[in-house]
Amino acid sequence: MTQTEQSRKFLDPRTISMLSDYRLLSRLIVDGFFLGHHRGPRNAFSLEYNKHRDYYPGDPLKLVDWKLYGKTDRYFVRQYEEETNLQAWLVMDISKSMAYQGEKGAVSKMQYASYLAAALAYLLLDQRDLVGMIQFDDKPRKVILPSSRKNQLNLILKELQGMQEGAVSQFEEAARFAASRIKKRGMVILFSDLLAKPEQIERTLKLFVCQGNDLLLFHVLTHEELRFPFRKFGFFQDLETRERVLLHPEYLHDEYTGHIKEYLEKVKQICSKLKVSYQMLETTAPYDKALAAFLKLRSRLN
Amino acid sequence: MGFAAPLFLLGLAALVIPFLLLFTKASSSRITQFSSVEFLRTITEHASRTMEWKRLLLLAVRVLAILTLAAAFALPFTSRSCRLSLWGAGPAKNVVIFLDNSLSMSAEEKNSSLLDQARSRAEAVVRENADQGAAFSVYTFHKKVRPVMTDEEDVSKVLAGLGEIKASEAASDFGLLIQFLTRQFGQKPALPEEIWVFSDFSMPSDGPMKLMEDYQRQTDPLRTLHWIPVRPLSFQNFWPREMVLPPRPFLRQARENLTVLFDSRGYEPGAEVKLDLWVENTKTASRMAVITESGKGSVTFEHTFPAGGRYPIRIESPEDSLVRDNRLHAIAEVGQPLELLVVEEGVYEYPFQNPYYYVSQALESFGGVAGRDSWVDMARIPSISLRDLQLEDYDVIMVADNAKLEVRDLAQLRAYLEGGGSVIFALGPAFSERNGGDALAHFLGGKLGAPQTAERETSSFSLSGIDYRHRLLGVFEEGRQGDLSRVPFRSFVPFTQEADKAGEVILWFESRWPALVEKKEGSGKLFLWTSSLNQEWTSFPKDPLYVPFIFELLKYAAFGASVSDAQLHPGDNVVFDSGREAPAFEQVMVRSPKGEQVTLFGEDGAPPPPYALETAGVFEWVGVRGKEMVRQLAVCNTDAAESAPFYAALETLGVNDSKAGEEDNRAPESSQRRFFYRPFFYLLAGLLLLEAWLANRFYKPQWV
Repeated sequence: MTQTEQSRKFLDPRTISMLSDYRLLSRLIVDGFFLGHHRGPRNAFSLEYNKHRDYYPGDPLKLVDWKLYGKTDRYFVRQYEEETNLQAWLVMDISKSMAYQGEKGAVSKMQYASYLAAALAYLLLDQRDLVGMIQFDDKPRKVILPSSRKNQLNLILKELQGMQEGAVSQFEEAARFAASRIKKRGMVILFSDLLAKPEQIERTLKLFVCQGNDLLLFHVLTHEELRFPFRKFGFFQDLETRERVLLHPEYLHDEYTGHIKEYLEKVKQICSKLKVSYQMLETTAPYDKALAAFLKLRSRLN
Repeated sequence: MGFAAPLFLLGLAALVIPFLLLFTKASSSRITQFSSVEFLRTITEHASRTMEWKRLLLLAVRVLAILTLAAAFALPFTSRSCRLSLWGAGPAKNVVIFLDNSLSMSAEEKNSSLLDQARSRAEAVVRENADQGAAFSVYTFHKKVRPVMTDEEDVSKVLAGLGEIKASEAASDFGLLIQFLTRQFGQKPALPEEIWVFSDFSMPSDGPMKLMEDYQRQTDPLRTLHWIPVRPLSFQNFWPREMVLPPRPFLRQARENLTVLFDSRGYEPGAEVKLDLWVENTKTASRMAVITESGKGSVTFEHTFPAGGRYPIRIESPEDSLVRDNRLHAIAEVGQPLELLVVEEGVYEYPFQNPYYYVSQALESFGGVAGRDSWVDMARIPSISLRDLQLEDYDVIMVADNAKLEVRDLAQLRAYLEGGGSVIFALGPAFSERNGGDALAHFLGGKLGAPQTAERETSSFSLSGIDYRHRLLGVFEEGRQGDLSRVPFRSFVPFTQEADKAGEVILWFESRWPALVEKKEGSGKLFLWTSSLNQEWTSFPKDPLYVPFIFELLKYAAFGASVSDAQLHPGDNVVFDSGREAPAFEQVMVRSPKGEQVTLFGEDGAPPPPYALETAGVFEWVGVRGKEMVRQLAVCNTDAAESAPFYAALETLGVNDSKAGEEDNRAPESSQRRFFYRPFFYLLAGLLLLEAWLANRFYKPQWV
């Protein structure tokens, strides 16, 4: 087994779900992803010189270029181009439907999203980016304001670890409120199963995009939701509303898969229209896809 | 429409099964948690709607299948009356009249018979209902229920039909009537129905009335039943005036038992009542009957009649009160069969060593030794019991392979012979010259030598020079029953007759030793069969020829009348000849050797159709012409080897000629039920196939 293969096993949700320490698992996911890549995970950043300008009273004296004063007898101030830190919001949908695990999945959609969010938080904070988190179901439940403090990762990981499924998802309303909390432009990483009508989804995504945020959407779905492998006749109970529907899944299989394909196409179209980076994730899939999508966006933002 | 087996409609209760299946299946179905049903519902809205109607379609098919199944097994039928009512052009109601035309209804009261009284009352019923646009069905009943007309709306035709009804010779059978009513009218009628039964209810108990009351209770409100008793007032007219005795194939005369049962009033239990039997206006016997605690009494007369004749009989009572008050009566006819006594040695290791076994089997094949109307009453006794019997009670005595007869037994047999009896004496391995001794030689009128046995196992003795002109052998002429000369005999006893007592040798062996000898002894006949009647010395008992041989021998020994139709073969038709100038029979009842009865009817003065003999054996037929009954026998060849291909052909072709007669006995077409259960079965098969196809298509392996 090569090193890359070894590392990839830490990207498997089944393996990750065995760990209870979010700090460790977030590191494992990130390191596992970057192991074997040429580019290192830690991108250094600094204040870079831009130009000189005349000194005006009031300017801090420490900015005065004394060497130049010695040469020219005039006061110049060195001006640097500030490389501001990225502000990233992890927006977690914790509605009851996210607690759906399916029969084949090792983790629920929520768990899958939480592991991924933990890894991203680790990665972002490691880059000194500001990371905040919002959890919502029918309304925002937890808000952690963006920060790059050392303790921020602990705070986020603790919240992710203790994340419980909430109530019925009021996707649009909750997202509207969440969007209102994002004051500064930055990156919004949305984890959701998007179990809403396409028009609702579009309206919601617009809320984030219109504020000038770069939106990365992780659409988390289970194998069962995508493939609908059920065979036995019976009731299907809604996790959120507890409603039951009697149907014969085997007969509906073809129609369901056709419809889900159509639905996913629509979501993709919406994302494309709104310039939202979209990544559909199946809960059985490794995390490398998700991280690659993130880094792609991150590099674009740089 | 009605149902011949409405009990099967209870199967409709099974209709709940598909519903139960649907609901219980649905309610007990597994629950699968899913992230969002709303989403699922939206997606599958169309599909669910499609599935719903498919489920309903499947449910409908299943319900229809169960309906069809129940209906098919309930045997639906239509009758003309139903069809009429369905098309709206039918009568307002059905009036069904049953007229008892049994013999007792011919009893006269006030210069008119009970049948006439019943007829006039029935006519009144017809006229009364004629204005209401009723359809009339008229049936007569005695031992059979016969339709005169059905669903007739023309009153004049109904009245004419009633006028043509005549009394029969038979007794009435109310059980049969109730059975017919239940079968024919058991279902809920399509129209309001009135059933009128006119009868004297002449039965020795209250049974008929009770049966009718029960039946009336069970009928539905649409049906009205009227039971009209037509009762005589005087006693002597009540009895049958004529009695016809069944022929006895073996006997020239027969003793008949007549049992009279009656009700009385005003008599103390234990009182004795005198009844007289009059035959041909001659008082022949008087008997005392004891009144029982229930007021009933019975008495049995015995009288010897020439067989097959018609004799007016009358039973009278000098007791005035009995004459006036008697309510019920009956006559039971009991025939006098041929009494055959088989004297056996008494000790046989195996039953099949006993000649009685073979003789009884042979006679049974004619239906002769079992049942009420049997021709032969066989008795068997060991030799030792012979001296205790009144041999005069027996018509024929058979002594077969018996070595234990003593001198006094032989003397007793000789006395029996001289008195007019017949003895058939057969030999066998148990017999020897020493056992029989001089007494037996004297009895037989000749000398018995040592048994002769064929030298090799493969060789045998056979009969030769058979004189088919002899009455006993006539049936074997031209090999119609089979070839007697090919019957093998391994042993026989040479019999040398005394010159002065020589009898007629009927059958000879090839070696010119007699096989069957007939000797006259006084008024009786002695027959000597020098071989065995069991299989000890011959395989004759296994040969099909054995059966007719025993039959003919017994008949011949008992001075029986010749049977005219003895030359018939399976497949031949029996033509019911009523005589040169006599009118044709109205109906003929044929009874096969198996006991099956078929009645054939003539139409418009034409004789009944011929009856095809489908099996070997003796067929008995009774031709009825007015009140006259003629009984005849038709003997069909019993050679199984010859008949087997015919049976096989019948079975292969599914042909049963006797059914032609049954067809004639059915009700007219208009009143027949038209069963149409076949389409239901076809529909059921189609529905089941459709259900399987739909279930497979909709649900694949699942059942909802």
